[in-house]
Amino acid sequence: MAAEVLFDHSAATQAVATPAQGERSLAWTTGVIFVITVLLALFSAASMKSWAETLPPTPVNAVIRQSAEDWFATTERLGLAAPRARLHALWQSARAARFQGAPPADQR
Amino acid sequence: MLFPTFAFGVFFLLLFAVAWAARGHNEWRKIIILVFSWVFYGAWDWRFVALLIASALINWGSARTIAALPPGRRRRAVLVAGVCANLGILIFFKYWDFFLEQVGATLTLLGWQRDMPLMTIILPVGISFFTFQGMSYLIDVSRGKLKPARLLDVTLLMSFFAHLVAGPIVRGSDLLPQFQRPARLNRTLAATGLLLIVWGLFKKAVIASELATGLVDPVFSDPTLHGRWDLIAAAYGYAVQIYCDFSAYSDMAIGLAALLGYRFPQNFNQPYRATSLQDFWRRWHISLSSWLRDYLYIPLGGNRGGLFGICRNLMITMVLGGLWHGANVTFLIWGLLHGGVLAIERIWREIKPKLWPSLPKLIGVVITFHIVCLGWIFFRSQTFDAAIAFLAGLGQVGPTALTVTPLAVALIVGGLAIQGSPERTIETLGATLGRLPALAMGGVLATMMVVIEALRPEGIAPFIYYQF
Repeated sequence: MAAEVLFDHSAATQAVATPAQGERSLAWTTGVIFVITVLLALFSAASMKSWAETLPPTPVNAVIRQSAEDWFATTERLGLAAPRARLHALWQSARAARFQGAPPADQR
Repeated sequence: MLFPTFAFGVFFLLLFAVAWAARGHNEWRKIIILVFSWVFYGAWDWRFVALLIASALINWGSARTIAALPPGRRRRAVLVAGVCANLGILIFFKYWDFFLEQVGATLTLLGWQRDMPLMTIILPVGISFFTFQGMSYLIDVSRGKLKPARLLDVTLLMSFFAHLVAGPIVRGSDLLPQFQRPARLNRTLAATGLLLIVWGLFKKAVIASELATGLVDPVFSDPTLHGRWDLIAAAYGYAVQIYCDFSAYSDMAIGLAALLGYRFPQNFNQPYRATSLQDFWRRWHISLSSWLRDYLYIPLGGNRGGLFGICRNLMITMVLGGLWHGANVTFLIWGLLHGGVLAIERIWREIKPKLWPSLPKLIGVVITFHIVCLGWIFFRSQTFDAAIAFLAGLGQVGPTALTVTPLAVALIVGGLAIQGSPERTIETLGATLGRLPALAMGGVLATMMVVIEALRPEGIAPFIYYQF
């Protein structure tokens, strides 16, 4: 059994793009990545803040951390952080749920 | 630097921009990806980048020498020396202290106690993967399946960040031809790559991480403290966790490579829907199982030598496959179990009366899954005694479930349900979503990622296979 190569079932993916098709696909992919980056920066600034908090304390990292906190505060003020926060709270309550008879998480 | 982290996101955005900016110059583009790969690997320990370069140099030089020599003893000697150099690196870093410990224990037993010169060697991340890749390259060149590649291509083959630390074990025959022509994207490839990254992120950051911290780690750390239901849930939970963890890495690796215009081999194909253990090994860690088949099982004799020879070759292959994971008796038992069951399946196929019906598929799936779960208990346990304590606990009536939660059960069920989805769902979805405008596609993927970010725990554990 030879190692199966992904996408081998599809002529569309396996076909070598012409230079022009390749350029159009690259522009499309770059566009998708740009949109994802912008939307994540707007709606998931908490992730950036969490990452910044893990950086070792240096003068440069202090600036990064402060910027991440400021940006998170801005998204919170604008209400952009709310959907993620609501979903996170729902997930936390699902995590805290226990079967009948089992002690709550903090007593285990 | 772990894939599902913000730091890696920044790293990849930068690489994507720089690599595609150099798309008119294939050689420079490969150099850029190579340097980024070294930065990625150096984030763990810079010293190991030197090891990676040395390993690439050895394989490049050996392959060129092999190709330059006529078939004969000298050519074979160079091949053996090259393979031994790869194995030497692997054995030194991975098994040296274990070997000395065993020698020390044996000497003590013989009444000749000695302090062994243990080196407490730090294990370079992914060493098992890149040494196996190097060996397959050398053997393929010696078999005439592959022409010796240029130094840059061999170094990039072994250092490419996407597969470097946890596979797939991408062979030269898969990747070297792609390095030799300018990389180009097509929309379906890019859309499928992006979906694979998001899907891998979900499996790792949500399912695997939650099961690990909420159920599997606490139960396996001391099985004697837990009742039967916790143990059963943890056994199934680990089966789902290791699948979601390892296949997530492979999915993300394949997706990241696709965004740079390269195609990697598939590494997982819904393994828990396998109807036999042989079928399981066609679906689980495909790049390792096919490696073991082509470079170990077949050279040992493969299916030649009668039933005894086949069973012997299966046992040797699986035991060595087990020890590839590490020098621990638990991995040895795991390999013995898989080798033994593969041999039994083979014997049964030979002796089963032709008129007897085959097992219904569903029963085959259930039996195979539980054999695999039994193997995972040894694989996950720190020691043989801990695995036995775990198994003993399964048969005892103990306290009610204390650790397993409704969420963990839902994740186990969900993780197993993935196995029942139509094959190649992601690729089909990629072909469909690839027709969307960039704004819509970006919106869909960003929404998925915000959901994942909301569900993932703070921080993230390394991938399980990083340790191998």
